[in-house]
Amino acid sequence: MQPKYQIAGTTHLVTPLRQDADVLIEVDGHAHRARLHWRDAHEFELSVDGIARTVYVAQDDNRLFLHLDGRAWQLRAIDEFGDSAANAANADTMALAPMPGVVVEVYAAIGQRVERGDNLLLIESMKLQSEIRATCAGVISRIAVSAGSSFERNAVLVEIDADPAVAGE
Amino acid sequence: MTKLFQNNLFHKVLIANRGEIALRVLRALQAQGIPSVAVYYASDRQSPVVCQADEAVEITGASASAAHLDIEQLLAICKRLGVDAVHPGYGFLSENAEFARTLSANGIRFIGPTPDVIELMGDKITSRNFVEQLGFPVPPSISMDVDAPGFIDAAARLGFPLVVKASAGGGGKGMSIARDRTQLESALRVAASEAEKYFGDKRVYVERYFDSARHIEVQVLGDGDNVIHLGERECSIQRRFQKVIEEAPSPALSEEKRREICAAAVGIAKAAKYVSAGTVEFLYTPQGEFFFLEMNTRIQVEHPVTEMVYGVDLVSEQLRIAAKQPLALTQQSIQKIGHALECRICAEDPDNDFMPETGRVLLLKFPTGDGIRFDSGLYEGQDITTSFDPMLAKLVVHAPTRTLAIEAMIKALQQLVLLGITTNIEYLQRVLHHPLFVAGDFDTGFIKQQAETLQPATPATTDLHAALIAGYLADRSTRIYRDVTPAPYAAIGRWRN
Repeated sequence: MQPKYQIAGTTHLVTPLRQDADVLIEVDGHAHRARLHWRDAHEFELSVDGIARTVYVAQDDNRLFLHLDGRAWQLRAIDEFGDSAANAANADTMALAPMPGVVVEVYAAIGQRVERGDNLLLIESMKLQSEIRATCAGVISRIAVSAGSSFERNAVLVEIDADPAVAGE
Repeated sequence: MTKLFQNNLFHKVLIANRGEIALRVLRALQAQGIPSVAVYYASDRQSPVVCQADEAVEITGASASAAHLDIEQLLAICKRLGVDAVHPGYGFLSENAEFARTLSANGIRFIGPTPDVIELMGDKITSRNFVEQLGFPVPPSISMDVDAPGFIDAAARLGFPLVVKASAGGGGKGMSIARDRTQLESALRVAASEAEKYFGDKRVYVERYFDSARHIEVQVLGDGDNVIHLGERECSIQRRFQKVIEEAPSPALSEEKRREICAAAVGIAKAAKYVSAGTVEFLYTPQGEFFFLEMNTRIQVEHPVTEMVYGVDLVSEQLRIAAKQPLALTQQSIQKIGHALECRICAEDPDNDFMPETGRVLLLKFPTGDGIRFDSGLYEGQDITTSFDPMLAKLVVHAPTRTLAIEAMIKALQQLVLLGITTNIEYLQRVLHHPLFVAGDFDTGFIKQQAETLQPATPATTDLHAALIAGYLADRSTRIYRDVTPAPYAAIGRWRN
C-alpha cells in the first residue's frame, strides 16, 4: 500500500523505506531520516534529519490534525478506493452550499429561467445570511432544499440545465 | 462550593448565557463569593460553566438559542432557586428591555442598565437622535420601513458608499455595504429579511459609510449618578463587520483626541443616567473627526483588553453597581498601564472568505503565564456546530508596550494548540506580522484591502515534509503495519493542561 496524504488539496506520497532505530522515509521522492518518541497519547517528539520538533496530534477517522512549531496542519489520508472526484464533474451547473447552514428563503422555482448571478436562495449559517447565486445561465431543473431545511457544506442546493451555448464557458 | 466569606451583594446569581462569557461571569461571582446558577441547553451539558457553577439547570426549547431567549423559563428557574440577580452576558437577552423589566417586576435584579436606557440605546434611530441633540457628532443617515415609497431614492441621495442595517440590529448582523444602486437594492432585501426575522421590526437604517474610518470605542462605568471612562479600545481589525483583533489603547489617538473622545462618551452616558458597564462606539476618520455609532448597553466581548490595562474587573464592578453600591472607582483613581491585545479565535477558514467551519475539539492546550489570558468555554470532545457564532475563544495579552504586546501575542498564538477544527489562529499571526498593523496604520477596511498581502505563505519544504512524516508516523491506520514505537495508546490517559 502506498500511503498518500492530502494537504490543502495537494496529494503527497509518503514511502517508508527502511526502519531500524530510525525510520528512513521518502516524501515526494526526498529521503529523510526520522525518529519519533511519544510523550503521551497526543504529543511526541519528532526528529527529522536531526532537527527535533514537538508535535501534537489528534485523529478523526482519515483526518489528522497536527500542530508543529506553532503551526497547525490538516492531513487527509487518501483512500485509494474512494471517489471524491465524481461530485466535481457538474459543479458549474449546480449551486453548492459554501458552508453548512439553513435555507431562509427560496427565490427560484423549477422551470424558471435564470441568468448567471441571479439570486436563487437566501441561506444562513452562524447567524450570517448570504445569497446563493446562479453559477450559469439556464433553466432550474431541481431545487433540493426548501425554506427551513438544513444542509452540509458542498451539498447540492439547486441544479440548472445550462444553456448549451454558454455551458462550460 | 465552600463559601470563603459572606458576600454582601447577592444571595444567588443566575448566569443567563453560555460559552466563554458564562464562564467569565462565573469567575467574577466566585471572586465575590456569590453563589451561582448556570443554565444550559442539552448540547452544552459538558461545558465547563455547567460543571463549575454551584448549581446548573437544563433549559429546553426548539434550539439552544430559543432556550436561552426564553424569558418565562428563566424567570421560573430564578423563582424556584431563590435567585435575586441575573447576569445576561452579551448577546441573547443582554440588551432585551422586556427581560430586564420582567425580572424587575419579580424582584430580581438585572445586572445591567435600566430597561429605558436599553431601549433608548438599542434603537439606532432614537440613540442617534439622543446623541445628536446633546451636540455630539453623528453620521448622515436615514431610517424607514423598507417598503416605504421613495426609500431607495432617499437612501441613494446620502451618497455612496452606504451601510445598510436593521434598525434594531447590532453586532454586524444584517449589515452590508452598498456601493451603487444595484447593491443597495440587494442589501435592503437582506437587511429587511434579517430585521424582521431577528428583531420583529422591518425598519432599515441606511448611513453614509466611511471607507477609511477606524472603529474606536470607549468603556464607561456608571452608577446612575457618576460616570467614569476606562479609556478606549481600538477595534478596526474586522471581517464581516465583526471584530477580530482589539487593543487598548488605540495607536491612532493623540492624548488630546483621547481626552475629547472619552469626554464625549462620558457625556453621552451621563445624559442617559447610565447604570452598569457600557460601551460607546465611534467612527474615527483620518481627518481626526469622530462620529457616534452606537452604545452597547452590556459587557462586551473585548472587555478583557480594558481590564488588562486598567487592572479592573469590569464584571465585578457590574455586580457591585447592580447591588446599588456607588462607584468605588473614580476617574483619578484609575490609571492605564501598558498595552493589551485580544485575538478572537474563530472556527472559520480565512482563506475561504472566512466561511464558518464545523468540527470537534479533539485537543486543546492553551498558553498560560503572566500577562496572558485565555477566555473560553471550550472542552475536548465538544462539537462545534453552526448553531452559534464562530467565536471559540479569546486570547488576550498584556505587555509594557504595543510592540511587546504584538510579540507576546504571536508567541501565545503559536503555543495555542486547538486541533480538530479549522481556525483563524495562523491567519491572526499574518495580521500581527503585517507592517501596516505593526505601524498602527489601519482602518476597518484593512482585512479586505490587504487581502493580497495577507495570503498564506507557501510552507517551507522542510516543514511540509516534517508534517507529512509526523502525520504518517502518527496515523493509526498505518501504525498497524509497523512496530516502530512502543504502543503509545496503551498509556492513554485523559489529556490535561
